[in-house]
Amino acid sequence: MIEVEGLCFDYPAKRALSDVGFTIEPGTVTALVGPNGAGKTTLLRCLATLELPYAGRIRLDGIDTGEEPLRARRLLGFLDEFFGLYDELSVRRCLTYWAGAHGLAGDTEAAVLDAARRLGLADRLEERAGSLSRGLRQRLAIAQVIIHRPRILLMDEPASGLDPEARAGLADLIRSLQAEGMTIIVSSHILVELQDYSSHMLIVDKGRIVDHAPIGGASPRQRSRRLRLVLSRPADALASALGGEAGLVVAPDGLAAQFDFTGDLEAQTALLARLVGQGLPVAAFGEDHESLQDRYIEKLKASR
Amino acid sequence: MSLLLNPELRRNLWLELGPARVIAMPAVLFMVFLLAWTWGKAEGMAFAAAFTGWALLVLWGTRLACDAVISEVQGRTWDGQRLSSLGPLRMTIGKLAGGPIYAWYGGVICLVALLAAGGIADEPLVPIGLVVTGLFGQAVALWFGLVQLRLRSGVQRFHVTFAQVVGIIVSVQLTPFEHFIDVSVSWYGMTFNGFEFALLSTALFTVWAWIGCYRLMRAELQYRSWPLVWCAFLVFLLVYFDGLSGQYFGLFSPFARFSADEAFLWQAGGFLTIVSASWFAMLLEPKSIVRLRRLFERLRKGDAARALGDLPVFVAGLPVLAIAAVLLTLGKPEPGLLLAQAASLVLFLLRDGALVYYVVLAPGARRGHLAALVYLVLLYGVVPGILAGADAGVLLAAFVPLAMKAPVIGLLGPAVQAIAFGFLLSSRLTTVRG
Repeated sequence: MIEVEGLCFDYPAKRALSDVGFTIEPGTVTALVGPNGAGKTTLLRCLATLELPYAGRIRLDGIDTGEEPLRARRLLGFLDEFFGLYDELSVRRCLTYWAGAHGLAGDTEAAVLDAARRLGLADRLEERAGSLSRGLRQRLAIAQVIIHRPRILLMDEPASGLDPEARAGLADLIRSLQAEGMTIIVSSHILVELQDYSSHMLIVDKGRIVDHAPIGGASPRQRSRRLRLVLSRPADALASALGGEAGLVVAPDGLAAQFDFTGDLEAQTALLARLVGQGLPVAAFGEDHESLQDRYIEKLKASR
Repeated sequence: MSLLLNPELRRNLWLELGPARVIAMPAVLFMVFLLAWTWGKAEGMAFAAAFTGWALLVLWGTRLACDAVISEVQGRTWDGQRLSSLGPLRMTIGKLAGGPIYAWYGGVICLVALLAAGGIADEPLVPIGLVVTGLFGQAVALWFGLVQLRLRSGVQRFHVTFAQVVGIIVSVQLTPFEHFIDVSVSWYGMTFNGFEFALLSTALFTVWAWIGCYRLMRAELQYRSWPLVWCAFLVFLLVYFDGLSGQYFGLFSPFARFSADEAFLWQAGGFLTIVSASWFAMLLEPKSIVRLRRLFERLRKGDAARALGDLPVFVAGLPVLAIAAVLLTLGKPEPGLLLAQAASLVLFLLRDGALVYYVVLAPGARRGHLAALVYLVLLYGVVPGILAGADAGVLLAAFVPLAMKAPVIGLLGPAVQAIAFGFLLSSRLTTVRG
């Protein structure tokens, strides 16, 4: 869906992106991560056709963005970190405007209602955009960029400034958009949240790609999650109880274990019941949110 | 998609023509016209309508037109618009027609009042003049707003005021209280009075202002453009001035009625105008080291088509300047001296271009254009003053375009400087940190 070859982007005295190349498959959610100043925003802006690269080529669903920017833009939705809204317009008119601006022809009312419903704004259509809270403004901004149902969604720090509830809502939204087949790239520093919904991680550092791989090593629809089990006291049966799980690592003190789990939440519940049934003193059981961060740090260190 | 279905225009209608504003404008104007009527009856009302219309369309409309883009940048909605399916044409129309729509709402009421009052005695073209000057001033203001936007990444409110002032200044020839000297102008054999000629000229240049807005919008939306339109504009300027001089097309028709000297002055004026236009284009065009590097890379690869898109327009227009210089000398006494003078002007343009690019593209340069202008003032003003004071007047032609008096120095001087600054500029092309 997204093919990048030999992409170079220069600021007057600094090369921001250097020979960047990667391919992103349709229907994936890619976490774009890297230190501050690594080139993440520049890369997103190049993908969004907002910046012309010095060299290289970007193809979105086969369309060369340098040759046919207007066609490429029809495939795209881009949410900037510092987005703006038309504060004087109502939510309905904001959405109607962007429906027209993105080329939806004819009666745009259905698209407006659909976008508002998906973002939980259906009961706020007549409110002024300027009167919305930060979280609702974020939702409206997302509704605006997906109203034309783009096949590719680029989001730069979408969770910035959101409260925990709004962040959870954002994660749900990204999952639902992915389920509809949208290809999504999310740039963020909050790796724990990225792990909740990302299928791939693209690490950028100093304008170069450091790593680009699936998270958990599986396909996006059946990707594994890294689970962490903590016991209240050591148990000899821990390793044997989890012996069939991939990537099993048991702590030397026998109090914790981590492993890759490909099942859904129901399967996870069944596993927990089995472990408790086997007499293991389970104190905690859930996703290991530190693993993505560990891998990120490890890859960055290895690249330097 | 029709004009009225242009989403950008419709959004502006929503914002600008709310119920309260729709009622307020005619109410205020009614009071103004009533006051004028009590003072001067129909004639007073006509003058008030003309002046108020001009104030709305030019004084205010220029601000609204420029703000149609600048407010988007400041409101962080501009990138979203750039990514939309609105192409450069619909975006330009949406901004030009939609931004100042409220000023036009009031302006149309003023026009109706002006016509209803019987117009202004002996000046039947004033209503048309109002419309044309409004269109022209607003287009220039939007164009200049886009120029400022492309020259620097951040724009502020004073940039709107700056564009507004430029829009007003260039529209001054059609102000309703302007009293034209009783002159008649012959243009391509047609005779106009001063106001009529100003109206015709403004209308012609309005079309070019629209084209300028469209071209800048294309660039802003990352569309590749070739500089052929710029060359066409230079040719238009030559043709426009030829209507006064009759030197090119006049060779084939008998409309030229000037003496040879007068005609030559108009023709030389045309040449000076296209050189000046090229100079201002050089100054106002965004300067990007990345674009220059890409240009040379594409030239090295022989990719001429793409290289044209990166070529600075003042360079792209050089063939037109060269042809115009040769035409200027045809049939004139001492054509060699004339050609030297014309070539000297072009060499000074190249020198200034190299200098401005070198200064503006300095790493970490701030206010590069201002610094470059200071250096140019030194070169054009202070250095010649020193030379004159030091009895070295023979070298003057190396620093001011006086090649007719000293052809060799007048050509060698700017050529050597252009090469020197070009060499310095080339050093900018290689400084990249990884």
